[in-house]
Amino acid sequence: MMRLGDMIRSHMALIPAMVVIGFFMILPILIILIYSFLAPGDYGGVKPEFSIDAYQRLLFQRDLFDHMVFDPAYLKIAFRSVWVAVVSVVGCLILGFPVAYYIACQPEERRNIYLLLITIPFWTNLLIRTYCWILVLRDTGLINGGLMRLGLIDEPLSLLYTEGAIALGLIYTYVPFMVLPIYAALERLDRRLIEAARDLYSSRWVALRHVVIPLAMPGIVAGSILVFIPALGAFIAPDLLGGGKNLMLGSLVQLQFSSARNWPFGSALAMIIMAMVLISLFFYARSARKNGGGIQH
Amino acid sequence: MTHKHDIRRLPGFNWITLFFFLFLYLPLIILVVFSFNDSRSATVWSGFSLDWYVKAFANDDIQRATKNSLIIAVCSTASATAMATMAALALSRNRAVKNKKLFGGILILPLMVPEIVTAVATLTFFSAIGLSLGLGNIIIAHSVFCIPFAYLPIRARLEGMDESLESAARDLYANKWDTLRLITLPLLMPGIVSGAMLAFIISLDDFIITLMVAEAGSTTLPIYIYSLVRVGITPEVNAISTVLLGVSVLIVTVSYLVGKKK
Amino acid sequence: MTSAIGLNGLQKTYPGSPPVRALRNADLTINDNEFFTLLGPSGCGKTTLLRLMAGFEVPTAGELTLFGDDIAHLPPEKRPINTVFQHYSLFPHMTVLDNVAFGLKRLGKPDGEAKKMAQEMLDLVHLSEFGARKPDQLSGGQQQRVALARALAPHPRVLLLDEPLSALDLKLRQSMRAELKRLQRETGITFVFVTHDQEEALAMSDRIAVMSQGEIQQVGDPATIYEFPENRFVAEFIGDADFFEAEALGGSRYELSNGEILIGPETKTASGAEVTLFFRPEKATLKHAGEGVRGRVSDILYLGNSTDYVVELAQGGALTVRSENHKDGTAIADVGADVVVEIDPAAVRVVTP
Repeated sequence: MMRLGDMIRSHMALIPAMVVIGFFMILPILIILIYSFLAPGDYGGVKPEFSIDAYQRLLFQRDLFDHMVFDPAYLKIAFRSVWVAVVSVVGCLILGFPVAYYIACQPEERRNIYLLLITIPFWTNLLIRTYCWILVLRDTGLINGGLMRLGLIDEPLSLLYTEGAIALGLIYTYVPFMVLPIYAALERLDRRLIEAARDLYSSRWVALRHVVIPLAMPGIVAGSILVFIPALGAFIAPDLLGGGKNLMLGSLVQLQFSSARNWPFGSALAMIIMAMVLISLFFYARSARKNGGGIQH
Repeated sequence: MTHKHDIRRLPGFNWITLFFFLFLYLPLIILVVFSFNDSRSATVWSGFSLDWYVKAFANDDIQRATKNSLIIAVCSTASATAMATMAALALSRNRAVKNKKLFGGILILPLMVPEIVTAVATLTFFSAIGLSLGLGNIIIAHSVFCIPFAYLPIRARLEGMDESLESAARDLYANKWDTLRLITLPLLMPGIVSGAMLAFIISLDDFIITLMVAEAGSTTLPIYIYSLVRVGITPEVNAISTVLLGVSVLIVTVSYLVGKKK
Repeated sequence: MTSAIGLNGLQKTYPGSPPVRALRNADLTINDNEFFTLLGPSGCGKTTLLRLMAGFEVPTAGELTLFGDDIAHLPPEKRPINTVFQHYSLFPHMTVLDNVAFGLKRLGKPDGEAKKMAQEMLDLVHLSEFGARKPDQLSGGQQQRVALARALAPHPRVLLLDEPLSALDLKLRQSMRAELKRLQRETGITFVFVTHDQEEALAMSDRIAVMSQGEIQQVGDPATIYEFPENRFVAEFIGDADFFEAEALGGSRYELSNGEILIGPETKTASGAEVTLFFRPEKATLKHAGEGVRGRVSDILYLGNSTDYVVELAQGGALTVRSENHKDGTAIADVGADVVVEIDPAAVRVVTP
């Protein structure tokens, strides 16, 4: 039986990291859980009174007669966040799967170069990269400028500040997260399985559907989760490319801690985001157990 | 060479891949190209000029923001890398530690939690305990989410290392500290360097957590850029961004090359 | 004879379901200045025993002594025992000289003296000029000699060698065997050598311990083990062996199942008991007629220096007879020929299963 002193000594090297993460991450999350059940302070912050106001606000508003009336505004924002996140996942899949497949079919030296090229933009400042899409999409931007100069349109197309722009920004941001896990799964795929399928009268596309995709499924699921979760709570793309009329959860939360000054409400929203993340992770873990896959780092 | 006849080849996938890389790099190319533009326009080319770089470097706000960003990045990297190294050694080499999966999970927890939630949680926590250390607040917040980024390359390197080398050292009369100092750490160094560089870039680029946690006067480069984006876009932003881009690319490439070394 | 290493009831069990009993109850005495070999197939426990001696594992039960001192729970850096690892485990980030000097420096020798002693070691293994190189610049055989020099430099009381020749090709292996024997004799250090190659064990050792499934089956010098194996496992593992069943008739007579009588070793086994007899293929002679076991040649295998004749016995089963090719290798008998396997009674043994 290990004595307490021995236990501490053998776990010593772990303690700093655990303490820091425990104290500055786990504990704070518990605090916002608590805050979501408190009342907002007069100048920001919270008052130590219990209140479920924050959660109520998600669905209800007080009308002029002080009755609780169903208000779908925040629900719309939540659904929009989920919808845009889903669209982003689909977009990343459509773009990312062929790319992952192509790279996995390349000879070894070339593969590493492609992978490096994919990861380089990821490590550069997201704000800057997203800002570039403003340059491309705005009324005087590249696309509209080019189309107008070619005489294809007379008025600039309203590309910026739409849900589509947000989705584009999110796809742009997170597509490497889709490509890499799918690539990892495809790279392990034994090409002789494809040869066997072709030998047994399957065309390329049939082989893709019946052999490649099922075997790559753990990677596809992992990639989808890796895109969906950050997309849900994203801030930069929705804020820069969506403008004030297309609020998503991320910007809404940030608003509560700046101009709107409703910390409990912001905390409640953050908790909602966490809940959605945990639910997705739960479904992912279940499917991973069934398919025997897992997120590879 | 023979991949044209590769049994796995699917037609059209090569075009999609080409489009993908153009899509990925187009914004960056525009950014860099127009930072050298001899006019205010971010879409019409008027000639080559380094004016914007000169303006950007002379700007006091930019200098201050850059200084802050660097201080934060260096401090967070140092602390996160140190903690990650110790944790990786404990989880990989120490047989007495049970529940390795649990600890490993906690170490990468910051990666699983959406950034906005982390930002909010950290802000409320600092406010609740009344912590107000200026840049210190930001350094603490960055250290936390940099830990997993430093940890993963270090762990990968450690798993690939031959454990018998440490046995050999102990066989030759080296005690645990000497073994760590003379054998384990020198051989682990490429992983530590990789991890540190990753942590450095992550800290340098962080936006939303820094935005929410920062107090007045603690402007970092990303926050400064954001403020410009809101107000009005000038090619100075292109210039600073290009410099930041160059630094990031350099660090990533060096980190990749170091990580590949045996 | 001084005892260098002593094992008394030494056991090592690894947890699991079911638990793995890697070493069960080992008793052994290894003498000072002896070239001792642990021989057995993979999984027999020889590597576990070596690691227990080195200190990389702690025994579950039993005693382990070094020149009389109990070392079972001493950490490896406190034992005056050094190991030559199977894959050499040379420190890749240090030069050859620094590798060899490593143990000396840890023992407190000043830098200059350590380097001098290390260089002497390199001279001993004929690698004098290689001190400044890095391990990855050396061939397999050279790396192996560096590993040897590194382990010998601190003048340990016992040297452990974990299958050090297994990664080398045949010719190199053969020359290294002679090298190792020479080194052991010159340094006078006790060598404990682990291998699964029985030819190697026979050629190099003063004594051998044959192991199987965590237990020591037999300990003895090479000739005794080869000529007088104590059980079927040892008989089969070392060299080639022929077995057949017979009924003891008392004295030195045995009856085979088809009624033939064979003269074998004197035995006190009660008359009527079923025994297993064994002999080495090269000790039998193939004849066309005469005293012996009758059979028919079913296959001939030409091996270069000898020829194996597979003989199917009249009583069932088969035996292999090995005959040296003295002249030009022409076969003594053809496939299908009726032959008699003649065995010298002194070469037949009774073996316990």
